[in-house]
Amino acid sequence: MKKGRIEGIVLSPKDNVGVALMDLKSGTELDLKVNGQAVSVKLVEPITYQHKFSVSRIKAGSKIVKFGEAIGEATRDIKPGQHVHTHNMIGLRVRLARNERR
Amino acid sequence: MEFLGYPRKDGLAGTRNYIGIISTVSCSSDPATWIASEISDCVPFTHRQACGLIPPDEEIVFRTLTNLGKNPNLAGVLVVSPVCADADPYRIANGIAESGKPVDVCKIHQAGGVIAAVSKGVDIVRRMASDASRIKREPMPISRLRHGVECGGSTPISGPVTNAAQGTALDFVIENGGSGGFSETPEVMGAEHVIAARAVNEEVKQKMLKVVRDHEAYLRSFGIDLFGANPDHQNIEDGLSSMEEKALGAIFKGGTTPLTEVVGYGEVPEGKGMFFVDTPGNDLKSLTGLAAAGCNVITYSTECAAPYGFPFVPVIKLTARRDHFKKFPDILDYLVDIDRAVTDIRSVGQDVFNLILEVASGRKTQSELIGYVYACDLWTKIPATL
Repeated sequence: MKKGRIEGIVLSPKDNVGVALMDLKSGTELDLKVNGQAVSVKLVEPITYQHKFSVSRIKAGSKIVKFGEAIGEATRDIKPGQHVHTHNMIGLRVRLARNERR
Repeated sequence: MEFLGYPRKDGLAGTRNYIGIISTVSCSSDPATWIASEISDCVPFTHRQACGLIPPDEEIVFRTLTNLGKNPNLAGVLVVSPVCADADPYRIANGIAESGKPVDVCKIHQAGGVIAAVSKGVDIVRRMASDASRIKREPMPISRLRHGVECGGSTPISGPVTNAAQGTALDFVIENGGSGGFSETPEVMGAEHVIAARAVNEEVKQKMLKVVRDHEAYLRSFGIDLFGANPDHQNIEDGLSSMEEKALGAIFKGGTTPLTEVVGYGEVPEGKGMFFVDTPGNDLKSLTGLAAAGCNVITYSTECAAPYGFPFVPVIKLTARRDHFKKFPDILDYLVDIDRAVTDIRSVGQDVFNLILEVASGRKTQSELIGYVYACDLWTKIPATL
């Protein structure tokens, strides 16, 4: 990690996403701590300040974990370093509510 | 560890020493404000509700106004009301009087009209304020501090940064024997299981889950689809992807201590520890809920730089936005350093805790200095269209 301000962080040991603490360019390499292990993640797309990026391979249908809790599930396969947002994940209760309506 | 507070007859401590002028209903707001503006150290509590009250609102309004009046930051209270108000001013005054503080009632029509009522009211609060000015601050243990925690304008990092800063400060208040808590029921939807899991017993746990379920049913009864509207467009643009993510960020403000009590709007938690007050997400109505719960100091994390405070409880406003903090020095009280918060939240929480003690002891917040403290409101369940 470059000296100076923190670029990105994984907030809780069980998380599979990190948060950008500044606007980050595609190709940025982040040295992170994931579940106690040092992990290097190379961003494969630009990540806007405060947005999420994946720190591991996340399969479609599996949980997205931030703050150590499930915040939703992947709607498609997500590679490490990809942007994680409404285009590739959905909240658990929204999905449940939509299923109920069907 | 202690702060300097005003002793009250019921054993509580005020961080402020105001005379409160409480309006029972929307249409007595103006005279209440006029009376307050004539005498120093008098503040009005006004709102836009309570005309055409039907149960259960009658009881909610009664207990909320009564418990606002009992808040230890008020040394005395005048209840102002028109003759036709549904919320009986004498019942409210009698309730407030249980705390041992001076209380009086000013009924507009009985006094002989508006000018006569204002004149009568001014004379009453002048005497109350004179008596109150003889009360001196004295050292008080932290156990007499009740810390309310509020948030508005969530972002994806306001949870672990700004909310965690005030949540950690709340932990310090509680570790030192004080009490405190948070509110805004719709904003914990999606994370209520996390808060409920911290409950001290099964009863508190079930009550926490119930207030959220009831609130959800209440919103549905208006045809509101909460799942479609939360997170909103601004939240999504900022990077929040689901209501779970937003709610998990919101509950950081509750700190990490066990949940000891869940109370309804306008009710006062009895014990020590961390409590939850059932309020709507509207910050003005939520602040009222915290003040009625007896909070004598409030912290408020606001990434949208909300400008207002509360009439008689100091509201310390925190932000993680450096640009806002620079641009709006007259709104915001404390800048939370993001890097420090994500690496050492306890040191940031300690700073906020120290600031709380300073403000509780008399240091004025920005909204108090400006006097931007009269934007307040009351929650009634039936919209005021009757």
